[in-house]
Amino acid sequence: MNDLDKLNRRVSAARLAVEARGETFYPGPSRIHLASFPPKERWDDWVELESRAWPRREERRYMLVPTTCFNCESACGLLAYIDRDTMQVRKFEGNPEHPGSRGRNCAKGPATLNQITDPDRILYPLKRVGARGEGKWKQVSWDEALNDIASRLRNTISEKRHNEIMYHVGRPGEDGFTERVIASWGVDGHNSHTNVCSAGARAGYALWCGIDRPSPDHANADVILLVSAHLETGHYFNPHAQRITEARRRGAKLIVFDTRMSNTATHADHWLASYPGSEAAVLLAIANHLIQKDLYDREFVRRWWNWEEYMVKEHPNEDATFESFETVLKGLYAEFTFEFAAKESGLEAAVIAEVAAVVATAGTRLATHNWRSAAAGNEGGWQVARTLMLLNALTGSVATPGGTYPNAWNKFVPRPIHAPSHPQTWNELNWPRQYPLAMYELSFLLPHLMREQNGYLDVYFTRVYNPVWTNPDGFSWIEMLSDEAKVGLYVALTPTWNETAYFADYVLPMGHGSERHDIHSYETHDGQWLGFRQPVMRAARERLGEVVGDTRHVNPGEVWEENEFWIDLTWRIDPDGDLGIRWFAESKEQPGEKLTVDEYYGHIFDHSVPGLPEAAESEGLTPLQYMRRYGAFELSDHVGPLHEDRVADDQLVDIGEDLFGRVYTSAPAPVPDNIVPTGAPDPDEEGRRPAGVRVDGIVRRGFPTPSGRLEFYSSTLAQWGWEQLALPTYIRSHVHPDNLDDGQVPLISTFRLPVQVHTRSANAKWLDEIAHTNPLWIHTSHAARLGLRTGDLVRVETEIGYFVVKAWVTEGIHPAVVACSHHMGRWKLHDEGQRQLMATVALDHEESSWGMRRRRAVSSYESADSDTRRIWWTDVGVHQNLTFPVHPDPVSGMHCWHQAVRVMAAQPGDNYGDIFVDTERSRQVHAEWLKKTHPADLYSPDGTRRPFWLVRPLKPSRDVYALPGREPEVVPS
Amino acid sequence: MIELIRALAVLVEPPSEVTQQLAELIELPSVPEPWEYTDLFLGQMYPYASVYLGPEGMMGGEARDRVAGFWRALGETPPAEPDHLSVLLSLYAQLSELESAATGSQVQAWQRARAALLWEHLLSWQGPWLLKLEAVAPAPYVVWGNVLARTLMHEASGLTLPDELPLHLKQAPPLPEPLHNGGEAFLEGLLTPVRCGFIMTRADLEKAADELQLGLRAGERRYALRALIGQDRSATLGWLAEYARRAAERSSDDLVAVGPIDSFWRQRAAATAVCLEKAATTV
Repeated sequence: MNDLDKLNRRVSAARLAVEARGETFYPGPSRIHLASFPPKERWDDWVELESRAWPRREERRYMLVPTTCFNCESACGLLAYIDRDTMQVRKFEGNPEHPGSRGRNCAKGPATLNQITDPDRILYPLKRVGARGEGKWKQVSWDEALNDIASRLRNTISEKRHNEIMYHVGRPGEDGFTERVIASWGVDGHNSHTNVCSAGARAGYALWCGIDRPSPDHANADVILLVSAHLETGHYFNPHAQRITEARRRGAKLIVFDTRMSNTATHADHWLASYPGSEAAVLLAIANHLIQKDLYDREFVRRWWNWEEYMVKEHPNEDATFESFETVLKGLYAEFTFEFAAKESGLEAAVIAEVAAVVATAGTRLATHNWRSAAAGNEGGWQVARTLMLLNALTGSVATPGGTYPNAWNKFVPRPIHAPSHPQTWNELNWPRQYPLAMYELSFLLPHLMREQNGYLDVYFTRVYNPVWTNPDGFSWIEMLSDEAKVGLYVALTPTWNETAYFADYVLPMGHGSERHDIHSYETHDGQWLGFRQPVMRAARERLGEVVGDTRHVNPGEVWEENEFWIDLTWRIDPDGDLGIRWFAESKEQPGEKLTVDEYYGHIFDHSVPGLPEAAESEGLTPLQYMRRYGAFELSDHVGPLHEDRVADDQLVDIGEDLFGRVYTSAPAPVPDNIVPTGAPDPDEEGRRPAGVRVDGIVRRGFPTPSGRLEFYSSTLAQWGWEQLALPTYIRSHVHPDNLDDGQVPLISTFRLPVQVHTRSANAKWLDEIAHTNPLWIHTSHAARLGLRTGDLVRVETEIGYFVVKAWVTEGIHPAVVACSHHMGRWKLHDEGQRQLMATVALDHEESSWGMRRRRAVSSYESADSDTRRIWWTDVGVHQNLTFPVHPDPVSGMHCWHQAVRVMAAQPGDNYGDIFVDTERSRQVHAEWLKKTHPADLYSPDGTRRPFWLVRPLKPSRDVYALPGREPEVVPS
Repeated sequence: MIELIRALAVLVEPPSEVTQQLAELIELPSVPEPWEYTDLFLGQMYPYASVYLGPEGMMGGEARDRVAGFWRALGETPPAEPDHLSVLLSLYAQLSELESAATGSQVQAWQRARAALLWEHLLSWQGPWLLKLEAVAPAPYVVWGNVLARTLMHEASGLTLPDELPLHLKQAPPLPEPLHNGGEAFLEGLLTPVRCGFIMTRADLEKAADELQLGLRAGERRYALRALIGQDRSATLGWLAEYARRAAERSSDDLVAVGPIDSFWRQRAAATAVCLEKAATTV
């Protein structure tokens, strides 16, 4: 044996010995694998040099505990570095075991450290002692708060006033726990932020495939088309951006629609700075190119579109053959020429043609994405998502490698320990009849609906939600919340002060991302994973052998986590079980005892996550221990085209089949492992459930739509009075030039700043230092006409008022558009609140007139954190959303964020941050938009409030879908 | 040699918690310290193929793309720095492993890939690089380089390698004419190994300044070299000519010397020596 052989054998033997112990021999050269992470077997005792001791080499010992970031909805994995000597979290880095984020984070993840050490955070339960909004509080015990709230809830429920209870959530960050709490109370009071966020895109996707989100397989795409800013912000932006980057390194082309020169646009191969609202016109021009040039995937269209249904229903005098359909299809979109799209968008026709040619090269590797952006900005924005998905449907890039999946296939929601039944009530404060097809609650209309319906909320919860600041028309929210005749008790569950919480009766401190439990699973790529958020100090102490009964014992002050809070509250509402509610909060292992979070998650991990018990056992752990140790579990790294799955023969019993191949069965539905929400198509007239769809003679799983196919033609839209919109088409936005008055321009207000997230991140000093203001983007030519320079004060007039902001003169915005990010303009009325990113303001109020003036800017201050003495910024932006009226899209219910505004130099007496609004005018604007709707009373084809098959959070039982005074009829499928 | 090659690959990465164990396993005289790593690989001997094979003598560019193309030809997504020595060695180990596990015609296919990687992307520059490393590296890395050189030669001896130069060496651009375009391209060429046939590190420039009694300006190598020539053109070019001559005439028992590749580097260095000698005597 030569010496090289000897060395090789020694290294091999060492590797075998190390790996036999279940440890990692090579952490991996960073250039080949991900950055070198601490090997997982050393997470209990990890040694690093103390950076603050440099140049001395001082070792610190850490325990590394995984959790999940809560600063946006991406749910990226974090590793908390807990100092073993002080038992304090020293930093957060990425969790390499997380399949979605793969050890990588954006700036918001590590900034969790700022949030948990924020000197201004709320640490104890507080109860109002003055008038609402007066800013007077006293500290109370959790028992006092819980007993008070629970007794009120008990009375409300006992007196059958279920619709007077409402829970209003911002970003949930979990998959259904709280929804089930509310359902267990028998209340239809789940209200979300969806209609100020994603309702437009959801509608576009849901109407195509019965599943309301896209899941692009960016990493394997050849062409990536974003109507979003996904390289810098947005849902799943970190997991998506890293995969887009991989694809681009491989040579994939990136097409970006963005009116602004965003960070995403600057990375695009093709940047389309189209006029706001024209996106669907451009997408249809691309689609038309594919159609006219026969560049579409003919077999995919033939097999999976519901073209036959369309031909029979809309072209009854023509042969319902595919060839006839193709002829019709060519005619349908012929008007969408490149020249037409150029006229609408302001782009050059040749540029659109070039992009169309690129899309045509993608084949089945076209990954597309839209979530907010144009879909959230425009009336008819839902057609942006629908026309974008049309490109996938034409190219056959649906659930293919490099294509776009329906999200439900790349997301896993496990069965919980307790599943309450559907509420027997319908709350019209959330689900008004005017919006039967809305993709979720008309949450932002609540002040208007309360007024119009003479509504009353006996108990109103907000949870990590700040409607006064986030929603349009915030002064109407203040009017509602200040009125005790409208809101009896308002409870704000929040880790940090916010503009809405000032008007609360109770402010209850909830944990940040590293201080609470949640499970979640998101469509970050073609795979399925389950993530576990956990209070890291609790997990650390348990690793050391301590028993932690209640998360309050390890969180700062009396900060709690919501799971334990809701279980406790539910228990107190129904302490002896006579309301039939307590069972939800009860242990299965020890009947009569309160459910613990360990049992709750332990049960799920033991029974509802395929593969997890085996993976845990292979490491000698229980499933709960496994999740506490690694923070995530990968169920699958490739899901594939589920719609092509053959339906098993034993599922095809006593089958019925409609004209178009929808197959129904009498066989009981198998119990799925994955309870991810999807469309739930109706049974046939015989009561048989839909089992699949026959394609070329074989019954396949298909899509959860009424037809079982991709619905190019939406019978739902057609039946509910929107016949003219039943196909993917172009709706001219409310900010289309034809709809603007002289002197008006569109204001884009929806874009994010990459390091901030809405109301969530204001207490992160590192992020605040990077981004703390929101000047008005205005094009150089526009500014020249107005005589403005960067930094000049500008008055921006909306339909209901105005705000005064600073100008930022730039070439990076469309010349006929202005833009202002909504992340800024945080304010407080009193001393309570964040001092790093909230200016102190005064409100002037008379009748329906509201004014806001800035009293104090931000400045440095003394606190337990010495960095607060180093705050150098004073400008924290302007709260523009206060000046926006509500714009509910008549179909999707989405608030159409873009504003038609007039921009002018500031007027005499104007000061930075000034705001004026007339809420009476906002009610008039609401009334104008209400006229666009097709209310269920007039348009329902079957006497119901809403198509039962459409996804709806906290779905009530089918009986209460009937409109008052009408019996539901069966509509032939 | 798979695990030995992997261990050698990891040691081209910054010292980490595994460095000590690997250093002991392959019998390095001491565990490399972070400063030793930094001085050698960040300051003198950049471990990137593109620096030594690229027409600009810099990281990246078409030389890196060529290695990335090799990854793509294997059906793999290239990593961010495909031409880093650590990555190249790891890929070589991976191909060896795939070959060991393969059956039938797949064995030959993986072996061809392995031979191509060794010939095109490792042996093509490792000869002059390891020789230079031996001269400038601290003790643990001298031994590391020695083990690597012997391992590469061991691998080369077990494979059928081409008789001809890799195409990119055949097509490598020559050293520009000294007087062309004010001499700037020539000066850059002296710092571009594939053009001049030798590797000139910062330590070499320090030595030149010392021996010629000239001042070494602080700055990048090109700046420092330009300053030396500016101070005494004839002496500096003469010193460089001698340096090139030694590179061309180095001993035949070099660490990694493989047929036509070895000849290529020697011939380039010899041509550069002639050119420099002529330039040194030209006003």
